[in-house]
Amino acid sequence: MLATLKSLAAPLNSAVVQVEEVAADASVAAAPFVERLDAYLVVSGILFVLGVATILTRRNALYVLMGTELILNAANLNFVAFARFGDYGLDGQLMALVVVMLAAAEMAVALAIVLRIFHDFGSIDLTRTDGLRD
Amino acid sequence: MSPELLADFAAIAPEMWLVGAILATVIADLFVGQRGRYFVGALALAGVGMALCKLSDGATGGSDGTAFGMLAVDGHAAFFRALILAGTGLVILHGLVFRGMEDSSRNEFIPMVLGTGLGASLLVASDNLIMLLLSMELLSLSSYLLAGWQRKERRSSEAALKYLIYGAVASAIMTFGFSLVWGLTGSMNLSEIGHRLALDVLGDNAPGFGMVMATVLVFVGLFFKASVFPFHFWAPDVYEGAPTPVTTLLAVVSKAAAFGVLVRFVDAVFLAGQEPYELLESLGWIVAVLAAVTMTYGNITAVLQRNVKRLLGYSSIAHAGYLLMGVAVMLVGDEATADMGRESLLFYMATYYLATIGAFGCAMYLANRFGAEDTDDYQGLAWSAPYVCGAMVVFLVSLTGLPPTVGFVGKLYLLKASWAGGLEWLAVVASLNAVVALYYYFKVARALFLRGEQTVVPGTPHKGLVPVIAYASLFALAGATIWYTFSDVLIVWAEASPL
Amino acid sequence: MLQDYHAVLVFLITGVAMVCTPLILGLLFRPKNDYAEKTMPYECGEDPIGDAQIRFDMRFYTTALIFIIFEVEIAFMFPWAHVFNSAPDKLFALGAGLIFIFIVFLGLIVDWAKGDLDWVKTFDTNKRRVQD
Repeated sequence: MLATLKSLAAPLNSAVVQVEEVAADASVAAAPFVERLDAYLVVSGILFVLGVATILTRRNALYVLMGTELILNAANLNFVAFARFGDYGLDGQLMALVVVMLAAAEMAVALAIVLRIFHDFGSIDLTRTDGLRD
Repeated sequence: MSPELLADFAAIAPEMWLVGAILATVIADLFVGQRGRYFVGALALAGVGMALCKLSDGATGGSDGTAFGMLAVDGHAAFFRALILAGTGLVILHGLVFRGMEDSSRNEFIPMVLGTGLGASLLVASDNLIMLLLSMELLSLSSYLLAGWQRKERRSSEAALKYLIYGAVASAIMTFGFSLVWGLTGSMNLSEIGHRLALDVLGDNAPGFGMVMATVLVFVGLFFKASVFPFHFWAPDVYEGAPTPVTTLLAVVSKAAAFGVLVRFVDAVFLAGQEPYELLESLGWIVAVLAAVTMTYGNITAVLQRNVKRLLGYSSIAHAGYLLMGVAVMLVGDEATADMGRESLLFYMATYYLATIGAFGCAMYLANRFGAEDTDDYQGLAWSAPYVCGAMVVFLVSLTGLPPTVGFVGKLYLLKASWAGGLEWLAVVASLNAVVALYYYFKVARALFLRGEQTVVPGTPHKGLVPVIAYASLFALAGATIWYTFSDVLIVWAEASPL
Repeated sequence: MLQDYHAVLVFLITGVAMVCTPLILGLLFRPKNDYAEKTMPYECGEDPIGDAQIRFDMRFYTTALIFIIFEVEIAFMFPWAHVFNSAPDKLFALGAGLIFIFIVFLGLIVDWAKGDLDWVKTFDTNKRRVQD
C-alpha cells in the first residue's frame, strides 16, 4: 500500500514543480502548510488511489461506483485547488460545480440500473452477472 | 439580444432543434400515450430533419469562430454532426419497428436517443474541457440507460450494468486527467492548451511526466468510448445484450463522436506547435501499436463468434483499430501527411457508418421476422428474404473492404495515408487483417446463401407504412454503399471539412 | 519536501494516541458486569425489533432521486442569481433561467404523470405498474 502511494506521489510531485513554475509565485514555498498547493494535490492523489483500489478490489457494483465517486472527488479537489493557487480564473470552480452535478446524475442512472440488476439476477455481485461472455 | 449572441445561437441551431425535439416528444408522450408512438416518432424525425437542414446553413459562429467560446464551428464538426444526426434519425426509425421492445417503452426511448444524438453532436464540436466533459456525460448517461431498455431481457440489464461500470470508471479517470491538464497548462480551451504546450517546447521546457500522465488519463476516457484495445472489454457484451437499434447507436453515433473528439483533441493539443517533440513521437508510436493490436484482436476474436451482433461488435472493435490508424498518422507524420491521415479517417468513418447501420439494420430485420440471432439460425434465410439478405452481403463486403463498395475505397485511402505517413508496417498489418475479416464476414454470408434448406419460411412479416419506410432505408444505404461514384462525393466532402 | 509534512505525521500520531489511550485505560480499569438489557442499543424506551441492516423499500429511492435532481438544480441557480444584477440584458438572463427551470420542472411533471410520485405504486414482475 505504502509503495503504491509513493509511486503515485512521484508524478504528482513533478506536477507540483511545474505548477509552481507556471504560477511563478515565490511566496508558495514559504507559505504555511495549509496554504500550499502540494498539500491539496497529495490528498487528491490519495483519494485517487483509494478510488482505483476500491474499483479493482470490490466485487459489489455499488462499491465500485463509490470508487468512481472517490476519483471524481479527487478531480474536484484538484480543480478547486488549482483555481485557488493558480492565476487561472474561475474555470476550475465552474468545472467543480459541473462535476458535482455529473456525479449526481450518474449516480441516479447507476442506481436505476443496479436496481434492475438486483431484480433480474438477485445479486449485485459483478462476478455473478456473466450471462454475456465468449 | 446582441448580434454576437445571435450569431452564437445560429451556430448551434441544429442542437437547439434537437433540444426542441426532445421537449416536444416528452410532452407529446404525456398526451398521446403509447398508441401515438408513430406521432412521437414523426415529431422526433422532424426535429432531426430540421437540425440537418440548419446544419447546412453554414453559420460561422461568433467573432472568434466559436459558439459561446465553447464549441468550435468548423468543417470537421459539421462533418461529424451530419453523420451523427443522420445516424440518430435512422436509429429512431429502426427503434419504431424493433420487436424486442414493448410499445409502452418506445415513447421514452425516442427522447433518450435524441439526447444521445445531442450529446454526440456537442461532443464533436466541443473546444473546451468543460463542454467536452458535459457532452460526453450526456452521451454516456443516455446510452447506459438505452443499453438496458429491454425490460424483459436479463441480457439487456447486464449489458447496461457492464457499460455503466466500465463507462463510469473511464469517465471518472478522464475527469481526473482533465484536472491535471488544466492545472498544468492553466487553460480549459483545447487550442489554448496546445499553444501553451508549444510555447513550453519552444522554450526547451518539454512537457514533463505530469503532462504525460494527464494525457494518458484523458486518453483512457476517449479510447473507452472508441473501444480501442485495452478499454474494449465492454463492447462485445454490450453490443450483444443491448436492443439492436441501441447497438447501432453505440456502433455508429457513439463511435463517430469519440473519434471526432479524439481527432480534435490530438490536433488542438499536440499539433499546435511547429516542432515535433519527444512526447509527441512516443505518443504517435503508442497509438500506432494500439491501432495494430486493436484491429488484430478484434478480427481474430470475431472469427470465433456465433452470435451475429457479437460478431459485428468485435468487427467494430477492429474498425476502431483501422480508424485509429488515421490518428497515428496525424501524430507521426509531417503537416501534409497529418492532413491526409485526418481526411482518410473522416472518409473511412463515413463508409463505416453506411455499412454498419445497414448491417445492424439487416440483423434487426432477420431477428424481427425469423427470430434469428446466431449464424446457425441464419442458414438458408436468403431463400425467404432474398432482398434483405442481398443487402446484408453488400454491407458485409463493404465492411471487409472489397470492391465495388465504398468500404474498399475507404480502406485504400487509409492504407495510402499510413504508407505516406511513414507507418508502412501498420499498412501491412491492416491489409493482413482484411484477409482475416474476409473469413468471418463471409461466414455470415455463406450461412445466409449457401447453407441450410432451400425452402421459404414465412416468419412473421411486418405490415404497415412505418416498417416499409424503415426497411426501405436499408436498401437506400445498400445502394449508397455499392454505388461507386458515391465514394467520390464522400471524399470531396471529407477533404472540404477542415479543422 | 518530506520534512514539510512532519506536522501531518505529528498530528496523525497524536490523533491516534488521543483516541487509543482513553480506550486502553478504560479497558484496564472499568468494572465488567454486562447483562442483556445493558448491551442493547437503546437502554431505555422501545425494544428493538429485528436488525438495523435491512433492505429499504424501493419507493424511498424514487423520492430520493427526485430530491437529488432539484438539489443539484439549486447549485446551478446560485451562480445565475449571483450575477443576475450585473447582466447587460436582464430580460434575456431571466428568460435563460426560466428555460432551465422549465426543463427541470418538466421532469417532475413527467414523473408525476407517469405515477412515479404515488406512494402506493408497486413493482411487479408480470404487470409493470399496479395501482390501487
